[in-house]
Amino acid sequence: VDEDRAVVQGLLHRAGLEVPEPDISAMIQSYGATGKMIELLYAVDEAGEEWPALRFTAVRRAAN
Amino acid sequence: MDPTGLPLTIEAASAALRDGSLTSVEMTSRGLERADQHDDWLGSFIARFEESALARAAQADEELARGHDLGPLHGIPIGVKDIFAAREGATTAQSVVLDPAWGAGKDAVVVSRLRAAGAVIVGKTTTMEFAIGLPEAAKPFPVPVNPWRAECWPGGSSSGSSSGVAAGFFLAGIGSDTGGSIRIPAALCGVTGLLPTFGLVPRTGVVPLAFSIDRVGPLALTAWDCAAVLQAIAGPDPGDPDSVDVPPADLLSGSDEGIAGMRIGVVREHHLEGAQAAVVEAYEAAIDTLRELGAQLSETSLPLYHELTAATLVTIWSEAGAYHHRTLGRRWSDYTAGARTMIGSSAFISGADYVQAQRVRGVAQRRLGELFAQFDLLVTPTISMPAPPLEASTSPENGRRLHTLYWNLLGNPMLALPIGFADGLPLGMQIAASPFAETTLLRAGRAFQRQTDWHRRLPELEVTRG
Repeated sequence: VDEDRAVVQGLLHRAGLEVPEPDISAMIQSYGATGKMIELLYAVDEAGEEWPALRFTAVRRAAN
Repeated sequence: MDPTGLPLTIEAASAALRDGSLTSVEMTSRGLERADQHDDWLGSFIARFEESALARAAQADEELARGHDLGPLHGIPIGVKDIFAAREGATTAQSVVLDPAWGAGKDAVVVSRLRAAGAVIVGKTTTMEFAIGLPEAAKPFPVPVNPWRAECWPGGSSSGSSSGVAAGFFLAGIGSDTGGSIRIPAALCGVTGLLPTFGLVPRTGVVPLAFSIDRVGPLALTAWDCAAVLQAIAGPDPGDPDSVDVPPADLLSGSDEGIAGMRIGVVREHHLEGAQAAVVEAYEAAIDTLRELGAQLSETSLPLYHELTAATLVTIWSEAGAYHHRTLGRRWSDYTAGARTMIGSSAFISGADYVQAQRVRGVAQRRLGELFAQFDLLVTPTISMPAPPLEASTSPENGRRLHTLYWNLLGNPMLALPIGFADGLPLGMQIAASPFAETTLLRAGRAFQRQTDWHRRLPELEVTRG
């Protein structure tokens, strides 16, 4: 837990966020949950999915 | 008409305005009077525009009387979520952080299109801070509650636009949806919500949450009413780089054609685990109704369900983190706890993680496209529980029962509609179609609502207030 606290405080500081102590435990919890979500994203890669070209919009603008 | 004398739907009100049995002034006044009676505890409005609304209503009556007819929204009272600029007053995004000068004196494109269609803008409605954080009583904004049970969450973030429709304050509300913010309050308040295809409705003049995801859409009592609003607000706009350069389809003609022969995929996997019996029964009864209407149903699964849900959250937090970077660093404690925790979590996501989320998005879009080669529509529960108590609305257990996030990165249009009750609280189902297939979606919603009456059941506010 102490290790997570140090990592979380470091990441928040790097992002320019001065988070007061009462909120740090919520941010540590969120750090853990976010890490699990990110693992899920890379698990798709490990499954050998054939990746389509990257795009950032939600639908193709085929009609444009 | 309901016991208050207000028409229940835009469709009915529109007919009444034209046959002379109702005036817009009468309808607008009654909605505002109802808000006078109940909005102190319901919290649907952040600001009401009585004077300008009644003036516009009088103008609409005069225009209709001389045959100048702007279409089904002419003279119809509409509430607008307070992340949309409207010239009558400030936009707050329900936050003390947003610059009070943001959007001052201007209309969001959607608001100006509603005005052009003759709608009466009755006020700004409550949301969650920046459409993401939960309201807090300590902040200078109303805390919206559920019109069916005041101790319960109305859903968010388009809370007031949804509860105001259920309460009869106005006939349609404008909302936005980045993780479920139209569909969740529609389900929990027992109204209908429409999430249009990404890019169909411009976000110009709307406070952003996540640039590549945010969508704008209506809440009303019926699918037909939602279609009427979408018809007025859809269409390209150069101010929104994601606006799609296609004219909106004709959404109202053909809405009565029914769904006989339509291929509908029914999703249960990941959506009903641990749900109470009444929730499962209501969903199965809704499926039976679709079958009775002649649809061809078969069970299916959503590809990459958990992975895409995770990708949505990673994307929302990252994009919101970029937008709020400067102010969150300086004014952390001015944000609500929910907003600052979620937006601040962008600090835990690397650039590579964000890009990986977009790659997952691309894979899921392709796989879902393959699924839509087999089906015209997909249906799932919107939320597999009735409205939770306000204090439990963000618990992890309840979060797993919200089934909206999966769809936000995909861009498909969706209709959320009421399907029954559990413990006296509304339940909802969502229907998805291929991008730009709103006409198919609305046909299904119309057919379902001609066969059922869940959308016509309204809360008795006097009973809810106690």
